[in-house]
Amino acid sequence: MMKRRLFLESMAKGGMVLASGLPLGMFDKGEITKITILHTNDMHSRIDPFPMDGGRFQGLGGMAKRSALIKRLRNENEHVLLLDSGDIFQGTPYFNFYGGELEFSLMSDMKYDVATLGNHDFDAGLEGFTKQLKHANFDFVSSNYDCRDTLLEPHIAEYKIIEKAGIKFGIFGLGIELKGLVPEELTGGVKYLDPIATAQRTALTLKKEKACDYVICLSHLGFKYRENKVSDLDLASQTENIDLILGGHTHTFLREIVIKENLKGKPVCINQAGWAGILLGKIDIYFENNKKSQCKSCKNLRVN
Amino acid sequence: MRKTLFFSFVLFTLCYACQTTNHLADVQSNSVRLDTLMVSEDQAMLAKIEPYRTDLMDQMNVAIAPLDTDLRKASPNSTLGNWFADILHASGEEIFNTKVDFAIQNSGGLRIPGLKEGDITVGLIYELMPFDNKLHLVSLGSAELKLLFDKMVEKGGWPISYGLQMSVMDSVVTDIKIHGQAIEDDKLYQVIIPDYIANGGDNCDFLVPLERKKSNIFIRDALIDYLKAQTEQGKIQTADATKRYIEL
Repeated sequence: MMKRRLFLESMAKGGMVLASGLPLGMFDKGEITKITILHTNDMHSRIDPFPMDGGRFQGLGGMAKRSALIKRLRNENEHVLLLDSGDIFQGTPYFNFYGGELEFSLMSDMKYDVATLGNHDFDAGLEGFTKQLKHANFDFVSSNYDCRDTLLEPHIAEYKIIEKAGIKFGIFGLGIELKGLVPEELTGGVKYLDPIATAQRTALTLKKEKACDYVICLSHLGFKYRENKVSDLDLASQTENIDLILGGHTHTFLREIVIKENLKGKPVCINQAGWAGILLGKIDIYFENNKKSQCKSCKNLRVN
Repeated sequence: MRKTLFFSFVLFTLCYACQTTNHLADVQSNSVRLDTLMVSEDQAMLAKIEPYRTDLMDQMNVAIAPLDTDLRKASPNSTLGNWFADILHASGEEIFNTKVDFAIQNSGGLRIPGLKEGDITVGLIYELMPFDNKLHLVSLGSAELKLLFDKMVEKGGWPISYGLQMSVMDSVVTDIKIHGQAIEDDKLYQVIIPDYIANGGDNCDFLVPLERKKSNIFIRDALIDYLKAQTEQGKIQTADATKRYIEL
């Protein structure tokens, strides 16, 4: 147990050392590929930076600043995935006045790949949400919101598979229980399914049946709770086949990824980027393409 | 047959051996804070936002109602609290199309210390009530009313509308009048309550199981609509300093 904990801790702390420790020659020969995952959550219609009014977050955030940063990171990194974990809507008058049009449109300009739905994305009802989808040039996924026979059905996929540099990413979404959080009139018949069981099933499909190399869960469940409520920490430890959980809802600022063991003792990375676009989450993932039984650079990360 | 099997086996072994896979070699995270030191902004995006921002400012700066005196927030009684709760009462009756007994608002829901004499703008209403609270019309019996009033006393008194008068001595409710009448034991009272409270917020769990009507209109929007209508009718907003929460 102790050994395992030390191992996990060293993984968490040693990120940078490990990265710089990867043999450069292998990059040159194309044996190692770096994929950069950029992500946000709970942007809450924060189009502009926080006003300079002496508040705690004054001057932070802003979509135009984020866009410039993303462009720079795309120049510096060949393979980028840009993801969002929900609550795009609600929080500034931009949403009240334009219904989410500008949020979706600017996210499309930044070339977001996939997003999931947060509870506040239901605030304008299913009609309000679908009305704005013409401005969204990216995909929405949710596995545990059963959207059958609702307005959302044609617009929400259970998962998306994206291939970057020959590496297959399976991306699925999990939403929080809507009862008590969103008035029933607004959720228009969308059914909430148990997130753990759903995740277990979806991640298995992605890893095994669809042969994805890496499975990412966009979660709006929340990082951690004192009360008995499903969190990302529970999700990580009670499932298998998930590699990375990008969370939301609890507006948690994580300095670096948290690594938990899954059901089978394998590490699951969890991250969350605060809220309001104050942080842009950034995770670099290195893959070595080699014979099935051989991995020269993997000695510190005994995954698979 | 045997030969075929053998070849299949060799082929399979060879393929397996030469098959490559993507091993996860390393993961490192380094999130970036978007602070003021990062001067660069996407100019094209700024230009795209600009017309929305200008339009928004224009809409926020719209004057919707004249106010002839300053309104101030305080507990338990205040001119801002009375004014706000009275509007909840009046606009609630319109929204639910029924007579209501009174309206309440939790103090914490009102986010500015007051309104200055002059024009009330849309932006000021957003500052006053930034939350997306909605109105519920909840049916309360005498027992639940007692719980509600005790809770309000515990919280130091909340804004209450016309129609309700509470007398309190040493933090104990001594008398209640609803439209001048004492509470009747077997009567159900219709009360306008923000959904935050009606859904159990501020430890008002006892309200959760009660029968209610819900409105999908934000309190903020209800306020704006009501004030606009009043202004159209030539009415001017003013202060009502009546004490509805009487400390004996």
